[in-house]
Amino acid sequence: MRRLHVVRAITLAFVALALLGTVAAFRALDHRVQDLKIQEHSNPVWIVSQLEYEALRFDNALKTYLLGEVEAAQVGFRLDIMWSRVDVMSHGRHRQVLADYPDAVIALADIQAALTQLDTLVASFPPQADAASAAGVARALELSRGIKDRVHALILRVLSVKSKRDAKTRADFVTLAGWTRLLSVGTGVALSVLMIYAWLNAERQRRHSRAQQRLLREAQAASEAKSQFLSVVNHELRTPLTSIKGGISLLLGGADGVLSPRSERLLQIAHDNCERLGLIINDLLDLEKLEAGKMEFCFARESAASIVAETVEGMTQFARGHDVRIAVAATQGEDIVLADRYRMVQALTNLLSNAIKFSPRGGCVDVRIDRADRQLSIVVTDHGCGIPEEALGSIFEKFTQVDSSDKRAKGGTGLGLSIAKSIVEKHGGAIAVQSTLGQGTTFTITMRPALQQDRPHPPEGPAEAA
Amino acid sequence: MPIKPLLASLALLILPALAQGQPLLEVRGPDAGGAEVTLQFDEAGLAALPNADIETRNDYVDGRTRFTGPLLRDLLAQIALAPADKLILRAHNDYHVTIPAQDIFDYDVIAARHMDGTPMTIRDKGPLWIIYPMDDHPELMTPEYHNKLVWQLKSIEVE
Repeated sequence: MRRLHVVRAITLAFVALALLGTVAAFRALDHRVQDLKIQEHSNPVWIVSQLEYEALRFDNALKTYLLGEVEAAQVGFRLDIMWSRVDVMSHGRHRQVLADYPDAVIALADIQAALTQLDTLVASFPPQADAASAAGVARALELSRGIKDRVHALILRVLSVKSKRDAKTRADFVTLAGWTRLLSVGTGVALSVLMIYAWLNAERQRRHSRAQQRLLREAQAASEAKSQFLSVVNHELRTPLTSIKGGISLLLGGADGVLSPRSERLLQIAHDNCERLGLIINDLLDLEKLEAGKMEFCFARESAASIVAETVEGMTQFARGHDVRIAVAATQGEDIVLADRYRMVQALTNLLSNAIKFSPRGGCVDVRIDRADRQLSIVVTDHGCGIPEEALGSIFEKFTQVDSSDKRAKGGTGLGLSIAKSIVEKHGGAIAVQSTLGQGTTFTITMRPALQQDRPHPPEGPAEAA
Repeated sequence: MPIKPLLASLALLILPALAQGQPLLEVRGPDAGGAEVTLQFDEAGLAALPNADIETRNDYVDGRTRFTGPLLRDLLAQIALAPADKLILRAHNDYHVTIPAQDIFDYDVIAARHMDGTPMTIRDKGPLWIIYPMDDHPELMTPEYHNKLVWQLKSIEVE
């Protein structure tokens, strides 16, 4: 698995690099193409050869003037044309192209100097050549030859430089093309690897998900089996128990005449234990029903205060037995909830029973009803030894009791809180616990109060916890 | 700048201008009746036509430049042009190029006489320079059209 991740990371890095490289290569290519486009219609060799042509025509004009075949104006005209050639080479794109050839720039400056001298000379020519102007014409011819040679040398130089540059450009292109090809292939390969990896990954995930689904089905089957087992076992436990209790009750009721005090005491102990066993079995059955979702609730509009009152009344005997007082306080106001009375009493009884068991002798358990804006709370507070923080998280789980040494002292199945939580949640409410070691514990049931229009059917979702 | 060459240039420039009859441009083509005519335009003749201002860049100038001159379609107004006709533009330096007659109707092509308000001499591509409005029509910024920017224009004839 680790190896695949490394391969994937490397491949991704490679693809990223290849893409970047390809982009850079394309941009470089593009740049070169742009350069080519400029070169296309501004070949420096062509530009300079135009000047050479005009230089030759000027030279020719001078000679034909000397021969008397043309007038000075023609020479002046040819000089103008040469000047215009230099002008074209000094502006716009031609200037840009020639700037790349330092020889050309220097040569142009030299030629301009020579042309300036020629200006003076030609301006002084008489319309027809004569002996007086011979010296001037000779000088002009000399300058003209100088220009011709200069320009011709320049052409050859520019040609040579351009050929070398063209060769280099072609070589660059070939190299760039090679790089681009290589990078493209590289990217293609990398992408293929990525795709294969992705496909393999998808396969692995499919296998994983199939395995998970199989596990899920097995877990569900196990849960089902456990539920059915509990159900069957509970029933098998109850039947004999009923029989035992029945027999004992009959004897205690005098079915076999008056009992001796010793017999009565023994039978009473047996009876009490049967009661306890019955309670445990009931709890187990209830929990199983709750978990399987098979517990039936009968919701009706009930007063929270009356539920509390009924619970407290049922616990009075138990409380007195532990020398613990129960104090009930209720705020004024509406306290109607949608509830299954019997089950809520059951849940509250479990909370109260714990509170009483863990209260010190002579202590007091507070039961309070709080009415807040959209929420009704029933708060049960004891002032006993409290619950350690690390145990709070699992307090509502089945068969969990704080401190197993206590278990024997306090009794109980460890199912009470679990059942209470399930019942409260099926009412759309929530249950929360708060505790300080050495000071006591508070359990809070929160529910949504019934609205005027609420009909007796199970509430939608849990109310917000306090 | 040395005085003598300046005077010489001025002489060469002014002479044709002073001699008012000196033609700057020759136009040849068939007239409405089919007969071959030759029109000659001197400085005054060119100025008499409606002159257009074209501001554009091209390969031969260093930036956006203002060109002023008569529109080609006005210069050829007296020539009967068929849509498929071609015009040969010849320059003083023997350069020539053929353009489709349609160009002068599709675009404001001018024979520029002034560059940034100054009349052009032969030395700076005058007296007339064929200018296409390239900045206004980006499709004209190609080597093909740059070859049509004939400077030192001498004549226009219908092929």
